[in-house]
Amino acid sequence: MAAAFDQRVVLVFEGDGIYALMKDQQAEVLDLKDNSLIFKALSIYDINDVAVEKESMQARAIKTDQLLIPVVATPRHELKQRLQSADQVFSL
Amino acid sequence: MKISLQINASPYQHQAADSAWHFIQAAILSGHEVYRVFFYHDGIFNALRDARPPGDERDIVKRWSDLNAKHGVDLVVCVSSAQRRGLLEQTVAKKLGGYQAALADGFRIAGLGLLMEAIIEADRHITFGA
Amino acid sequence: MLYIINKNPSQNLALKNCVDQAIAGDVILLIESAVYAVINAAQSTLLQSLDDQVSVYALIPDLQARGIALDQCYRGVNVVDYAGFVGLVTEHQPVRSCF
Repeated sequence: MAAAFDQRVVLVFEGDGIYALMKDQQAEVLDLKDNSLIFKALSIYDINDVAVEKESMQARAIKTDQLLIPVVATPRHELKQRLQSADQVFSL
Repeated sequence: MKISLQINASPYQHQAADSAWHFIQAAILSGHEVYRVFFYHDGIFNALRDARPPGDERDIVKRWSDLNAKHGVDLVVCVSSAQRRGLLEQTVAKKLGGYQAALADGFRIAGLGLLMEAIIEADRHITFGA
Repeated sequence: MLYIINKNPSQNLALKNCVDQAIAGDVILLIESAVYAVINAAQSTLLQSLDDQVSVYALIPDLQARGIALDQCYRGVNVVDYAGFVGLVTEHQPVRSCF
C-alpha cells in the first residue's frame, strides 16, 4: 500500500514477527489464509528492503534460508539507526 | 502540527480508545490539527451505532461522534476490518443484505489507503492498541 | 525516538525490548498498565538500568487512576499529563508504539 503511494518503505521483522516469514507454513490445515503469497509478492510492489533482527533470529534458532523471502539479518543497533531516521514508524 | 491516530483495539475491553480520546482533547487544546483517526482491526467496534453502555458509564462511541460533530475530526473505519466483523456501510448492506444503520454518526468506512494517506500527510502518527 | 509502551513488563516483553534498543536521546513514555513499571520495587530495576540519557515518563492520569502515588515511584522517573504527552510527541520523531 505504501509503495503504491510512492513512499520509501523498509519492512522490519523482529521478535515473534519473524515467525510470519517461516517457509512451509501449512495454513490450509486450519482453514486459514496463506500469507506466504503476500510476502512473496512484496518485490512486485518494490518492497525489497526487508530487514530481520539478527538477535531475534538467533534467539529463535532461525536461519535466513528458513525464511520465505530474501532478507537482511540486521543487528539490533543497526536496525535502530534505520528506524531512527524514519519519518514515521508504524505497525499493523 | 498535523497529527493522525490509529486505534487497533475495541472500546471498554482495552484502554486504547480512552487514551486516544484524551490525547486528542489535549492536542486540540494545544492548537494542533487532528488530521484523521483510523480505526483498524478490532478498533472498528468504536463505530457501532447501537452501543448502549449503562447510563453511569462514559459513552465511547458517542464521544467519537461528538468529536467529529464539534471539531470535524475525520473518523475512518477500515472496510476490510469492518466487513469481516459485521459492520457494513449502508449501500453495501443494501446490496449484500445486512443491517443498514450499523455505523455511528461521524464515521465513514474506507480502505487502508486512507491510513497510508494519513501517515504520509501527518507530521506525527500515533498508534493506540491492545 | 519516542517510545510509547502501554503494558506492564509482567505482561509482555515490549518494555524490555524497548529498553534493550533505547539509545541516548530517546524517550520512553509509559501509559495505561505500563505505569506499574515505575513503582519502586523489583520490576522497576528494568527502567533503572537505563542510561541516564534516556528519559522515562509516566502519564499522570494513568498513575492516579491506579492509585499510584508519586512517592511510590522510583527516583528519576518523570511524569506528564496529556498536554505533556502531546508535547513529547511534537518534540520527538519518529514516534513508535510498542505492544
